[in-house]
Amino acid sequence: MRLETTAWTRRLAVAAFSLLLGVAPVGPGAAAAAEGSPDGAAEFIESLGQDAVDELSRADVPEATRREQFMDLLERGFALEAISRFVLARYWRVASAQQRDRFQDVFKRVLAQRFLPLFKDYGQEDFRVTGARPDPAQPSLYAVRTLVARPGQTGGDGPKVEVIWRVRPTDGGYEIVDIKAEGVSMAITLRSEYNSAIQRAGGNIGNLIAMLEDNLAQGAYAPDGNGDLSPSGDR
Amino acid sequence: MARWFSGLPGRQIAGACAVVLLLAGCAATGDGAPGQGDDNLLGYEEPNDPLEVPNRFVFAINDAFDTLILKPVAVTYDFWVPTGVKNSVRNFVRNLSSPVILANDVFQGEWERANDTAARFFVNTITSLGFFDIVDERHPYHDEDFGQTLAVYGVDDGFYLVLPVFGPSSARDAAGRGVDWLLDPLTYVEGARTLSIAASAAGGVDRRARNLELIRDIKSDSVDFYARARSLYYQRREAAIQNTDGPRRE
Repeated sequence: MRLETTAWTRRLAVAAFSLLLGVAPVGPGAAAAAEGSPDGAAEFIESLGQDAVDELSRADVPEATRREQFMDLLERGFALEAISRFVLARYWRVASAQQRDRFQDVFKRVLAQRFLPLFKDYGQEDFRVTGARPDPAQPSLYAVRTLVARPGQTGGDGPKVEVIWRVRPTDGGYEIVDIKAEGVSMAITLRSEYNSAIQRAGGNIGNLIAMLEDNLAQGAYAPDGNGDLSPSGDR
Repeated sequence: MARWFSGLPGRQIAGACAVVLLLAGCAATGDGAPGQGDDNLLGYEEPNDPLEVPNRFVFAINDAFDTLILKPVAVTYDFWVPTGVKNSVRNFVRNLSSPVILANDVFQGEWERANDTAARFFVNTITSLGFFDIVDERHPYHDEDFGQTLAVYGVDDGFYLVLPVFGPSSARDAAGRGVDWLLDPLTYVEGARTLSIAASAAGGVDRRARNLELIRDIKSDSVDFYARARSLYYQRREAAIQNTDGPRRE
């Protein structure tokens, strides 16, 4: 099949990597009260990026510690509940409190398996903020543009990918609600995919959670084909 | 004039026109699925996919075709063919599609991009019949098609459509494919059809070979590959329409 029909080809590789998430539906009054500025948003991303590189790229830190640090950064920088709510859409509203917790838990582990290995070898020069402005599609958000080195091509001079972080102001800070690379937002992609999967399972969120757990157990989210252990992984 | 035109029976053109008009009609009148509340604020719409059942069927056939034929061929090609030759395959195929890209650049009033395409076609054809791309630095390649041109003029995508072999598309973009075929000078050159088909096939294999890892990644961790491919198609299409998918001019 010519999946790569037009231009969503090589660039998508990177997108598939870099995609994180979320366009959060901004709840009434939630962000409306908070004030922000493009510069503030840029500083927030800059500082979060430096922290991530500092903490996660060190080879001398045990894997379990890096994992904990990654989870901390996720909690600190991302609007995880808003993202989960957006991704599950109408199924979030019918989910039980327990299902919501389980989804958020598995979702965080999916992100960790996907992105934590990518930080290996990253240096400060591999993550650069290039600008920020109000988000064209959603004025209550800020779009912070960054250039990020491709995994395995770190060290400053390699080709860079433009990754756009969509952040919203909170009381006294900012949080990330979406990440876009080369025109592809993972929030939107996952929302589409997860909703379709749940619908096909007769509206059962438990089924989606089980599929994600299966993928995790097979290491399917690990980049560079590390997780290619599943029989269907390389079709 | 009559001679180069004679390669194509009038009936075939009429048939193609009929299909194109039919699809374009659908595209123009089809209403996009309305998003709900917040989604609209984000400029986000759920894909309109009324033909999901037949689409999934065609998607599965395409997937089987990929697994059984296209991917093995692409892997073999990737392994045995030297990089320089692979680049020449891509250059040649891109050069053949230049007239169609140029026409669409012009239709959209994108004069700078039209200039890029014209310069590429002129220089690369004269110097190497298109096998080498010697002006890539100054005039980078970009893709353009009639589906994008329609979008620029405000035509809605209509509905999602998975085409046999060609894969993800939409009513508008499938109609655009038909127009692109009519725009292609090779369509009217007697005996050029074999070249045209062979080039498309080679281009398909080359693209597949360049995306082996990417497609494996997209597929391996998906929980609904069909839905993921559909969403990616729409988002990449939007970027292509906005011309934000290619290399940026500094």
